[in-house]
Amino acid sequence: MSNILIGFVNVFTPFNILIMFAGLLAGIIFGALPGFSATMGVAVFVPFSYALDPETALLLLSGVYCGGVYGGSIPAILLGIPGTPASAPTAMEGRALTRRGESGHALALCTAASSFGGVMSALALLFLAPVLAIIALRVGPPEQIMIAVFGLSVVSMLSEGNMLKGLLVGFVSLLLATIGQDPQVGFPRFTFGNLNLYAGVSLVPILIGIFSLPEVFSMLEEEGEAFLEVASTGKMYLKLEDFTKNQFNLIRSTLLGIGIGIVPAAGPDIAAFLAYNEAKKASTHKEEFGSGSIEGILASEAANNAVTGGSLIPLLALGIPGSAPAAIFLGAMYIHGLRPGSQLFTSNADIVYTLLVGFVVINILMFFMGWFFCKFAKFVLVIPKSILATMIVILATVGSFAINKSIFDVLQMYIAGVIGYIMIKNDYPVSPVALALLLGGMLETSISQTAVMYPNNIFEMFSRPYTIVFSILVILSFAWPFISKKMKKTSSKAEA
Amino acid sequence: MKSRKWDPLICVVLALILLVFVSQLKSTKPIARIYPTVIIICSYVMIALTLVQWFINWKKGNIDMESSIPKNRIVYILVYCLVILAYVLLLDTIGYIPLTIIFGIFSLIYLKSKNIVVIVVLPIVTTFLMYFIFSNFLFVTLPPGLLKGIL
Repeated sequence: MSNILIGFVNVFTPFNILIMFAGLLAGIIFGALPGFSATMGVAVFVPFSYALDPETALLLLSGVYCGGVYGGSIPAILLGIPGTPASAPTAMEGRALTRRGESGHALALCTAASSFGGVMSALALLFLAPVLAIIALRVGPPEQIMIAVFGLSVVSMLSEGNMLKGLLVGFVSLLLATIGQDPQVGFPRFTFGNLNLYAGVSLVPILIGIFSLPEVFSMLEEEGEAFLEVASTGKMYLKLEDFTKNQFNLIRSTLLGIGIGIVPAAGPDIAAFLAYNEAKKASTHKEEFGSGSIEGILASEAANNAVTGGSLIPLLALGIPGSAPAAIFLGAMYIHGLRPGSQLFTSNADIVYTLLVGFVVINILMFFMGWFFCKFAKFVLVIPKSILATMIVILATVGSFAINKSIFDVLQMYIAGVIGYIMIKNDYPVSPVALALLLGGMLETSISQTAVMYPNNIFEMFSRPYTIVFSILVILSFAWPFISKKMKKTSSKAEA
Repeated sequence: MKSRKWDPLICVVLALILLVFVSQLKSTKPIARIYPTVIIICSYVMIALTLVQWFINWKKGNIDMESSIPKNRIVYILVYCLVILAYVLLLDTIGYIPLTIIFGIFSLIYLKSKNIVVIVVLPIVTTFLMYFIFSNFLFVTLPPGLLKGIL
């Protein structure tokens, strides 16, 4: 409790409040611009957090993250184009409401549901992460192996329809993570005589490149400047009955969002679609879905924003990021010398509780900031792509340079961006790159430590209860694509 | 499972890159060799499986042969890509301020921005604003290049 109070005191300083507002605004703009995403926003803002105190830096990135996930719903309603994939269900319903002249109502609903989902997930983060961190106390090198394998396997397995490609990307990225001094004897490995590679590949510049430049190149695929027709926001209002009739829908969607957030790599898009489908199944007005259903908007928005807090739970407690933005978040934590796990909650309690309390506050502020932003969204959504692309390239370049003041880092960012674009265009998922680079070092160190612990037979590690638990999770994650395929077949047969 | 036209080429390129890593294995300490060796083997297995998958899909006619990038835009994107590369490589020599202004103006013209005021003012304002933020708040000195001694 005293830690939570410390968190409150730290959050409510004028500078931190300003930073949270700034992060939220930047995040909402990134989310609102079609083609941009929360991940890209967090990636671009990591360098800006570099000179800040760790707690302030994490608050800034949290603001960008939460704002980015929410912001995607604004063009979904006003343009009918989801700003992020997680807003696709909102686009279906929101556009229909806009056509009926109720865009203000749709935006208000979406802002309220997003804030509700976000606050609930932030509370889950505040109370669940420390509990999970207690389990993390019992995690030794053998368990860490299984945690790393679990994190990587889920990411690869969730590469919808591209399991093999996901695994291929995962393994090659794990190999890239071995560049630099090896963790056992500190001898340089795969450096090709380049001194810049002695410390390994630069994680954050690579993440900035892989999550921002591909969007820039994608913008160039369309000819000319396409000016989009943005609907007017109209009067924003909420009706009490929107919520009294949808309380179960909101709670169910939020819980789904938190659960999906905890699962590594199952990001807000999966949560939004799942919650939307569940809302449709449970609705007594199924016919309204697709033609401006309030239930659909509330479900989708509550769920996708609930992912934000959920995805930080395994990140803070075990070091497994629950989503791509969370992976970049982890990179930022490393920069600030913070290591996830039980120690984070003891030796860095002031920082982590500032983040946890700040996350709740950010999601409350998001309601007001979102409400305010929606009124001016029309002006932001028409920013031409020529300006956006130019700004992103400059931001990514300068941001990558700022981390180590190294042009070599900028070059790595550029190469990662080009490779990322080629990957995306050929259906190779990019999330495993982030996960593998983040978890690769931990995996190798844990394996070597486990080999020392069990010199005769490393498989003795499976005699430890937590190793068995995490091994079961790994098996489940590998089996999941086949189980889900079977389930889909069964349900489609039943429907037929 | 989706397969794309360029999957075999990507697999071959990856296999060659892995080969470069294999050639470097000898120069590492034996104890530090085991883990990357396992990863390299797994990567090769995945490449083989991806190729097998591609072949099965090809037999079934399930390959997406359409280029995911519009053909008439490939050169356009490639040129922009090279311009960014030049921007990155010359950043240290020419310096952040002059090069970013040049890059910004070129980029806006190349991406068909029509507003002359935007083309001229935006790169200058953005460049100096970023320089101000990075120097004064983030304490990062951006490459001075040709302006060394002036800044």
